[in-house]
Amino acid sequence: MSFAVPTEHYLLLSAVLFCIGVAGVATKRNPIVVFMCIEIMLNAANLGFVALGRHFGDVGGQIYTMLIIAVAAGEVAIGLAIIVSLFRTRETIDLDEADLLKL
Amino acid sequence: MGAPTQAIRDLSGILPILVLWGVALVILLGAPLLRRGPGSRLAAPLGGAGALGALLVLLRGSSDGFGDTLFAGAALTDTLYSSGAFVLLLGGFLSVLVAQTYLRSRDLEKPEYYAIMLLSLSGALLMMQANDLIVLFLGLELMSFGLYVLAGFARTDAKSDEAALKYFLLGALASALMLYGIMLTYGVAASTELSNVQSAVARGALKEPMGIAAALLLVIGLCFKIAAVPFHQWSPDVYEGAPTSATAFLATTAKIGAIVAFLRVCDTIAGGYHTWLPAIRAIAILSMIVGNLIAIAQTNVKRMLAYSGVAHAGYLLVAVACMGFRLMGTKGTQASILAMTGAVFYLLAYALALIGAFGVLAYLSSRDKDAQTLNDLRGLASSQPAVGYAMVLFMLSLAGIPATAGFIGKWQVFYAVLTGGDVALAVTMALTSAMGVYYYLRVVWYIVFEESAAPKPSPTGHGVEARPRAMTGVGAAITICCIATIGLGILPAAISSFLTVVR
Amino acid sequence: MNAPLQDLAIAPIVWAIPGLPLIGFVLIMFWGGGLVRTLGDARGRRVVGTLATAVVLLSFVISVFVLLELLRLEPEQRRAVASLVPLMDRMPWIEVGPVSVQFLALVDPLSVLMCLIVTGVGGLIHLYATGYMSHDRDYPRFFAYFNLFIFAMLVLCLGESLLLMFVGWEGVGLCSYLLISFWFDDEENAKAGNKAFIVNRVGDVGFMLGILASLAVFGTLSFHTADGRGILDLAARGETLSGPLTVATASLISALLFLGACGKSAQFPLHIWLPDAMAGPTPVSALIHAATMVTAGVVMVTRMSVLFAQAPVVLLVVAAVGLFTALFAATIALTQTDIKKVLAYSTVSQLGFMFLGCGAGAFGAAMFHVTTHAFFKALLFLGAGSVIHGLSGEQDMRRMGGLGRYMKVTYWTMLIGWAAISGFPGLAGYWSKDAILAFASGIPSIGMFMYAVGAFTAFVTGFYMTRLMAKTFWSAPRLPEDAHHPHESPPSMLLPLIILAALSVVGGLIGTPWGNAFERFLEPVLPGADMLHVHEAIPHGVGLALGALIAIAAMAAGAAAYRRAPSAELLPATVKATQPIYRAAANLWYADAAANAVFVQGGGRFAGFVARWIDKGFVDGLVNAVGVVTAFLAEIARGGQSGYVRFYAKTMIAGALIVLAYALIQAGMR
Repeated sequence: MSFAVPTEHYLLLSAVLFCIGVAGVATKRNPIVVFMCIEIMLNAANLGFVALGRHFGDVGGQIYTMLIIAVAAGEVAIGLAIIVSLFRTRETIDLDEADLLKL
Repeated sequence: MGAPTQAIRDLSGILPILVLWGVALVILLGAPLLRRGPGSRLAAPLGGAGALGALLVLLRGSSDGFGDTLFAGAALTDTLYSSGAFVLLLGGFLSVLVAQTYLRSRDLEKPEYYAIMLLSLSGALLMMQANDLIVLFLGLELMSFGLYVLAGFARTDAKSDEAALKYFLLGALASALMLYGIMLTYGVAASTELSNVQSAVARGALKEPMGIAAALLLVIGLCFKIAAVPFHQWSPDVYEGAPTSATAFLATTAKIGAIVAFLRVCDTIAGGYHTWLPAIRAIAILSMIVGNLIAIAQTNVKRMLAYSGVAHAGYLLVAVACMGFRLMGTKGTQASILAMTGAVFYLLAYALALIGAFGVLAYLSSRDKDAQTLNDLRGLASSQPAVGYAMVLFMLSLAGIPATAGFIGKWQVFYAVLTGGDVALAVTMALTSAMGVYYYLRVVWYIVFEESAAPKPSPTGHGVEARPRAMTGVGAAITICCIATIGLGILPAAISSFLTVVR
Repeated sequence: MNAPLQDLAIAPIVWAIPGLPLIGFVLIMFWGGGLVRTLGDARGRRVVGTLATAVVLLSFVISVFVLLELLRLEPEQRRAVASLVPLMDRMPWIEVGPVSVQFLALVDPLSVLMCLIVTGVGGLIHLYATGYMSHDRDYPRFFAYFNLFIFAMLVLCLGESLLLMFVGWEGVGLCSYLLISFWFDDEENAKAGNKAFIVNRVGDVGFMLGILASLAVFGTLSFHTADGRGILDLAARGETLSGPLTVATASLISALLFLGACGKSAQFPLHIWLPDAMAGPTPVSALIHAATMVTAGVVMVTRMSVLFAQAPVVLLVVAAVGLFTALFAATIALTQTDIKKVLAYSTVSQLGFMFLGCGAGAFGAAMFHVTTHAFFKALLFLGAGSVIHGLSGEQDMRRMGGLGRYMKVTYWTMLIGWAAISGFPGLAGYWSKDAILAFASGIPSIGMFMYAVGAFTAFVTGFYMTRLMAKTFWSAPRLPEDAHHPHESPPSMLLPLIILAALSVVGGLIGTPWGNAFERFLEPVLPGADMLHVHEAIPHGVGLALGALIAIAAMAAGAAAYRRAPSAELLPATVKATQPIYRAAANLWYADAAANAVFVQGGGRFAGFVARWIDKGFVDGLVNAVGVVTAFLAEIARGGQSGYVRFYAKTMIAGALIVLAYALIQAGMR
């Protein structure tokens, strides 16, 4: 048990994952990839919750993670539906071509 | 106190939410029957009954078990919640009325629309009732999911799809930022329950970097929902692309839910105001200036109202900033309470005027014409005086001209921030309000003083359709909004028993 | 000083004074059009016009009753409150924290005086408008707005709190906007309406900040309260909510309020909207832009006189702005050729006189001038309207002349108005203008200078009014060949002219230096004047004699000058260009009256310069520049809305990073 990973390391990993997600959202042109990056951000938070829950000895952290996974699942359903709908009208899902609305 | 009674107390505390869920479920299950044939006339009334029912339940139940926390501290009922919920559900009901006519005339009506609306409302209610940041997040997501779908409800319209996609991607980004903030809060407070967060803040949690980042990520997530600069860019595109009835709904619901939650969160972390107050003040000032400025350049009324919504978000953030004064002596405490009441009244006035204004656009839309631009309003005062002057009234209320509800709301927020002693915010508010008059007045201009572009109502024009339409939902919504806007402008005290927030 | 507030026997119907015009507005707005359609054009219009006029005159009758009731009380007791909404007696309107604002009317000499002016002169102008507007297609809409205006103006005058006053203030602004742009088919009118509204907003910001400042300082918005803690009660005792009232505080509040007054009452540099506002129908110019609304600023300053009296520097600014505006506008009036523009600049100038009076601490004299000015300026505008009506819309004085013989009644009543505004001894304008100048002479250290400039302005006033009369009535007819035959106006337009002419003659007699009933009546509401020890540096007799001399000299000089120029053109360039026969006469005139030459040519050039560069170039330019710059910034700012989601996401993330970085750095520095 002396090799237990300290909580700080989990949080650092979580922060790195979060930053990867943010960078992806800002740079990717494919909405599905952008959406995956957002999932990475959510999971970064999940990782933090779990690690902190263990750190505090509080079961709440794990439960929150379950809730968030459920929310993320809902988000996937809606997000993909919207992307599909967009593809049907536009025949493309490239984000840079979705610029009917501006100024 | 036995367990069953506690369960009943818990459930009765969220009775409005249960009503909304029940009716939404009925609509979803009955969708095959409601989709076509004689049943199709029932979907909208069911939706309206859901919102109205929740409103009545809220008004009846508000005296019992007040100020309690429910579900072991996950949720609560207090005057901030009940007054916010009153405004939210009233707005929801009016939005159903607008949708009833608009969806039908644009061939978009599906029963799911109303079910999604009710679910979204329940999310907003949950957000207002949350006593735990995770519950707040769940409420926020439940509300937002519905709004994403409603924004893209016109599935064959590329603009509507694009609006939904933009709203969804940026909204999910904001949610993720906020969730990360909640996680960090959990890290510094070892709990996400607001009372624990408050005591952690009192112990100085907001002095360490993790706490600071947590507080600001929460602020940023909520600022996105109310469309404050620089997190506002989704709003004009979404407002324009979404079907008008959905725009009316999402503009008001998101703002009411998020502002009430915002007030609660900032009230909780008031002890560490020095970390977040400068940010909120800066965002408020930016929103007031940028929103009013860009609105001037718009010719599409929906877009213009989106930018004006950004400015209104700024005014509301002024009230939120007052939460930071709570611990600065008696004046500050007084300011924070005044600001809560003021913000709720402001939201009511804003919802009435905005739903009214979008209602007028919905009223003017028909199967082959979606009224959106200033040109569509040209000469309305002479071609359809009742609707035209109603729109004038809504614009005046949004501009905050006296004798309308908008003025009272602005006045209350103004007074609160002045009591708190923040002259810079008060002056910015006054100056930018004067700026805003310009573009609201331009709408008035087009309505009252421009000649109607279209030739006089021909047998095929909307002049003929207009008559029966006055009897439909949107006509009722406009009428209610008109009466309430003037009534509250002249006699706001009439409603103060529902809307006063006490501590 | 602090007589307790009480209820008058007649208080239960005070609500009807503003209420009746409001009822009229609602009835005409919603059913006026239908009425005209169902009853037929002629009858429907008659009903609408009669209704609109009747409600205002009825309000006037009630105001008279209230006045009589007030007069029965002891002077110190003449202050009462009455409910403005009969159904909810004393119910709060707004309750924010400790502040509660009710729908109450403050019935005191000042508000009753204003009610009498607004409903009295307003009623006459309504009557006049039934004739003037009879050919207009939007007849009901006009009267609806007109009644709404009267309502808002009465709320402004009667309101018991600054907030209620502000509601009326905004209301009259809105009506003014709607009525200036009444003939909106012409884009110029539309622009004028916008200009009026926007310029007024500048002042309104000042007023609004002033309201908030007084709320912060006094903790209330009511003027008087039963327990003596209203704004004016506290200020009269030199107190605030906490501690004594300092000069700095009083100065701040009164300066902000004065900015509001400048906007509404068209004082330099916010005067620019008023001349353009003449784009509206003439009855509108007469009622709103001459007799009543534009004096709202003076009324407000008078109402708050206790505060102004404790801010000596602001008072001096008020006097200086007033005097400068008076002279400045009078010189511009000399160069205008549009009959309504002359009267508009004349109004700006007269308002300047009123503020000069306020600045001198002679609030009573200022209100006296408000009253007499309402009579004679309404008369002059209505007379001008009658001329315009008779000439089927012609407003350019260069195409008038010799109209006296076609419109006898209009001519004679205008003649009285001319004498009254010029200050002909015995007429209304003489007494009030003289009172203001006399008190101005008492301003410490620069009083005599002020008096001299004021007297000079009075001379200019007499001169430009004579020019107007000469160009319109006396000189040779210059009507275009194809013009309609000029005709006299219908009786409904002449009756108000006659009544106003009578008032312009006798109206000043209530305020002569001997037995000044007017001042005595207003005195209880003007504690500010007592504080200042206002006095006249010039003895009564001398002042009155000088005033009479100046007026007669101006009128005579003008008459003499124009007598020698039957074409009514004094400037040689035009004379040369158009009518060579009179060139010699014009030259003679130059050689003959050097003083006049210098005055008209040099002064005309100066005025032209002022009009062209300072007024149009600088002030208008400033306003336009603000608009252009704003639009430009808006265009730049909206450029950020590129339509690309990725860009939006980047903005959001950048914003979040800035917010976070700032907070963390700040925390690190602490």
